[in-house]
Amino acid sequence: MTRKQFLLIGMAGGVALGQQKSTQPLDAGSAAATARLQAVIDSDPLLRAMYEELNRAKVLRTLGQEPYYIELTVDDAETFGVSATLGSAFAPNRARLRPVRALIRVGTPQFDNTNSIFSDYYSGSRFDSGVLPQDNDLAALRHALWLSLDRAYKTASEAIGRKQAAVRGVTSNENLADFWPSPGKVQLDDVRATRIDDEGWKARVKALSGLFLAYPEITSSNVEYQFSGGISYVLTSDGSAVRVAEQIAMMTVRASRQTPDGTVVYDGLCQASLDPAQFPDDAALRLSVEGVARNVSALAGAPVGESYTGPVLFAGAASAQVFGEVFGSHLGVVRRLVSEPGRNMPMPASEFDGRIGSRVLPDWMELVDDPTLTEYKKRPLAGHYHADLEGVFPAPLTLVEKGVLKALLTTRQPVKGMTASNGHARLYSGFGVKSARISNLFVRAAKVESDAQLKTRLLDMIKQQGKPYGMIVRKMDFPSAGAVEELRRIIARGGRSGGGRPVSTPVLAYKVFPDGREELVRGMNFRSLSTRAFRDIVAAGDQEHQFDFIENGAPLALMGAGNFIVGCSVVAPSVLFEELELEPGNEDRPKPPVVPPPPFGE
Amino acid sequence: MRQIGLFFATFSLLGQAGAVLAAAPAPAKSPSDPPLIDTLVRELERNFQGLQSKADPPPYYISYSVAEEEAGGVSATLGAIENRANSRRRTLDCSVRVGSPALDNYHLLEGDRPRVSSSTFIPVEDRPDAIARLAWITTDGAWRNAAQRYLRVKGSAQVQARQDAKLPDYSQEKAVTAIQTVPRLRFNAEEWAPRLKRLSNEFNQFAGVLNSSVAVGWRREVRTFVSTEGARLQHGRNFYRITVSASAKAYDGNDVYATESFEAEDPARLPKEEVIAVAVRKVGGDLVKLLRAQAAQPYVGPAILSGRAAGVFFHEIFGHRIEGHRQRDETEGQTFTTSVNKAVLPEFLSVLFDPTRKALDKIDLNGWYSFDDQGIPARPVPLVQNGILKTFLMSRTPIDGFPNSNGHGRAQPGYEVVSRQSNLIVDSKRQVTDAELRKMLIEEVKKQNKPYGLFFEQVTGGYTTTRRQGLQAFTVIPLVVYRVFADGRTDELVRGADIVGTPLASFSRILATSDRLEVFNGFCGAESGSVPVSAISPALLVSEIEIQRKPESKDLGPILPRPRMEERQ
Repeated sequence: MTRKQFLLIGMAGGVALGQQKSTQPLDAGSAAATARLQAVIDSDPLLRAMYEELNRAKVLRTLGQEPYYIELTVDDAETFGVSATLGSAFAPNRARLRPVRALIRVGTPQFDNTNSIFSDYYSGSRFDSGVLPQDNDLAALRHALWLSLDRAYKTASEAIGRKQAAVRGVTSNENLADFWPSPGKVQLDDVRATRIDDEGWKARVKALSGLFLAYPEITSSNVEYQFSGGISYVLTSDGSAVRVAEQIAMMTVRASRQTPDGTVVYDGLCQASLDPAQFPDDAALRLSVEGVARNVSALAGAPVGESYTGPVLFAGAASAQVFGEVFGSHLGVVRRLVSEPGRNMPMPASEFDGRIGSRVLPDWMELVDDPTLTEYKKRPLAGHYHADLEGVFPAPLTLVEKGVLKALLTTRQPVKGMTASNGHARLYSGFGVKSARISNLFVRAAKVESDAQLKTRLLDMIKQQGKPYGMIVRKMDFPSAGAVEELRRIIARGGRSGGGRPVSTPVLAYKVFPDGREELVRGMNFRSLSTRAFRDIVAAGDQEHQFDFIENGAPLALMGAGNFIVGCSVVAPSVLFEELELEPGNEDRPKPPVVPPPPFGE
Repeated sequence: MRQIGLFFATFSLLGQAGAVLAAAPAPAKSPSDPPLIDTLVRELERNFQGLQSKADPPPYYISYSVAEEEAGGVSATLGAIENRANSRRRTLDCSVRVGSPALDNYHLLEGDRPRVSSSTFIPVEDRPDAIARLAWITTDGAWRNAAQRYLRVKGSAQVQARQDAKLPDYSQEKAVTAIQTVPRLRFNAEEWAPRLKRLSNEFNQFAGVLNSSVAVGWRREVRTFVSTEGARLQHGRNFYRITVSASAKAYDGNDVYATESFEAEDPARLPKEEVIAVAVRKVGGDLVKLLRAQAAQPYVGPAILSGRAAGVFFHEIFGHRIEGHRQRDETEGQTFTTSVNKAVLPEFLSVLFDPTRKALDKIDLNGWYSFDDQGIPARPVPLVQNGILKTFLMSRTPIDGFPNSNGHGRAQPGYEVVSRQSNLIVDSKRQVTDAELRKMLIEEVKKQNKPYGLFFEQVTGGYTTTRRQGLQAFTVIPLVVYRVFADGRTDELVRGADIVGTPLASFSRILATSDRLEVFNGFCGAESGSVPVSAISPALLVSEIEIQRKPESKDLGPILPRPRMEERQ
């Protein structure tokens, strides 16, 4: 079924749109939905086991609390991963897993057991393992689900008591309910698992990692391919039943080198695709890998930049990266957890919390998130999905219109200024709630100029301000390819400069001189790059750049972190910021190794 | 407070490191060194020369140890396959010593446990470029750590006051060269899948069982070791294990657990399905009995420890206290440090640690190896002869009176080596039959005017604290314990008891042993990680043992009844 033509707002010309292959969701309780559910239950023992045990759990009462909502999610997943360095492979790993998550809410939607530090804590013993048997054996599956739901119920009953005690005697100025209603929807696709060519990918990853043999001065490098695919199930007590195929393939490349002054320079890339068959071909991948190697070599030879305050042009993918990172992390509001009085957990606050109706971009810019699209201008998008982790089906969502914040990304957890879930519960965040994340984010500008004009405008600005040079950023370290120590430094720096959440560092930052000449500099960091700076974007380019990445809930979406991942895409034009601050890092640097690296042989 | 202990550990499929048993190393020496050794030696020499000529302080010793671990497993529950897993990895550990053997960066300061070595994963393919590059980076990291720590050691008040300068930090040993072939894993997991399904399905008969599984796990480990002293070693072993386990919750909220296992170095030596089926029914039956059993009461009195229970008892209260490095660590309890050539056990008992022993009758032993993790050949070490302590378990860290290693320096990949146990074997000269031992127990019960004695049949492991600031105490965790009455009543199963005690007091109370050895194969966790060990002992009769009630959960069992079985498709 073809979805409706999606109208572009604020942009000249239309675009080719994705096809949605899947069926439309049916309203729970309708005759069609009931018939479909019955048919699938009869043929799929896993869904049947979930259905039977979820229904049985509705009568749980013993501890004086009544479940008002039950949710079971199962991933019937297969994963494959292989990595290599310098042409040698590490052992590939392939695993099949059926992780199950059971959530029971007791109390009322106004006040329930979730969103408190006690929400996941159960003082008794645990008999469920968190995974279901791999065989489609109804009795064994039901046994495992029975134990999962039993513990979920006991955990909920224990948590609500402790949460009630914690809020007694405390006045909260945040009078929000704990759960939004959402109409039940049924979408049960006929699904098939994808086969992955293990040996093919192993050979490809080895060959790509071998490209670094031509760069002996690069200290360490790694190429990794990962695939995760299977069938996702969501079943809720308000009638939602989802069975859809989901898969994601990604390749990460990382390389680093220590310069003679001790600084470690690095670069990386993350290629993500929802369809392994649409993964870039070998020639394209080779170009990407060589790009990383060349970037690292160029950075090693580049001078360290100096403190700078002034206009900054985010050119090409760097613009999509910075929108994905900064807007992506603030568009979903994280609510403060209920904890013991006086023991508040430090939580990163969203800069957009409570700011609906405020201007967050120039009035000629728009922001739309659209999980329903599978491709854009014939290029596949990485952020498509049918239903979120709470069984809510998303629709295209206008987040910013004429520069004004119109909506936030929501889950079924209420947040200020919004009234319902818009189906963006994409990551688990513990405490019975999910995190909202972007899917396919489109940044659109009504006022555009060519990339050459943008650069000219930047040069005009520095001339006017009497600055010796301006800055162009062509690549950000997002998702971060840095080592964990690097991430720690970035977080510590963010804390010191009082700029709120840490922001990734620019990998490719250039000084651009009044005559148009560019010079690569290294070691620069943004000083408090927050959403506020985006209000003062002065111009945008006429070319759209797409950037795909893997969101894993880790700071800076650190490559390789997290055990639950989703794909995201950002489509954005180059943008010119009125004023940003950059400064060189001043951390201690380790001395280079005493012994030179071993020469490559063979 | 650090606890160290022996755990039976339901063999985790992906496996923590450590694991497993004996593969007969082929005696044939290959004509040339394997490519991995070549690459490692070349990089070792290059780094050693480079650092010796340019680094300050220079190293006097570097070693590379590569552990290649291949592990997998299949588990089934209630007639369905629950999990299949397979993994393979290679870990490179690099140890750098700067200073001199007399005083180096590994010198212990105030009981700290320095982590100086550096580790990384390396590819499983033998091409030199990648391995050499990773070895170089790892050596650089290890040297940095070593140099930093050496400066701290030299500057410490303890060393400056020369309080403990008389003992060197690293022993002089002969470097060994040996290349052994480790058999490939021979296992058809798919052949086992239907068998595991059938076996696990048996648990459906036992009401009250909440969690149950029958699993087979396998593991192959090859260790490659090279050092600047000239050691060139490759050796390893395979291990296969079947575990049967089940757990449940009693009416009062106590958790009960039962388990059986079979280990073998060769899959052909694993038991037949009928034998495993008997074990499944025993575990199920024990669990059902435990659910109905009375909770144990705190008790002091005579008891019999089965051979397996006694093995764990010795491992905890004795084995951990005769690990060499603890004897030079001032923060350790040092129960036996000054007891060499003195009686520490009843004179009818001897204790041997023998890592060269691969099997006891039909049971393969888990504490077997041919070289330790410092490249020292394994050898039998008679620790206690006729009750008299003769030596300690030694790594290359010398202690007073014992300047050399006896092949007990062990570590899980990624950890620093310390002295650890291998196959602990208790030998007794006061042996009686099991029936006689039981009679003696009843006599002892009567003599002490107690209503009953205890019989500890099955244990799951134990732990102990050896440090000074903690109590010198141990705990052994029994699963199946019986009350044995003096008046001839049938034995009564009890649950929820832990054996507790202090080491020296416990040994003096051993009265006699049975004439039958039993094997406990397990994994021992301590500061150098998890290492495979065995404890072999005859059953012990003790005049007095103390049990305490286990700390227990008190929550309810599942609220809804188990899903009904007739709905099975």
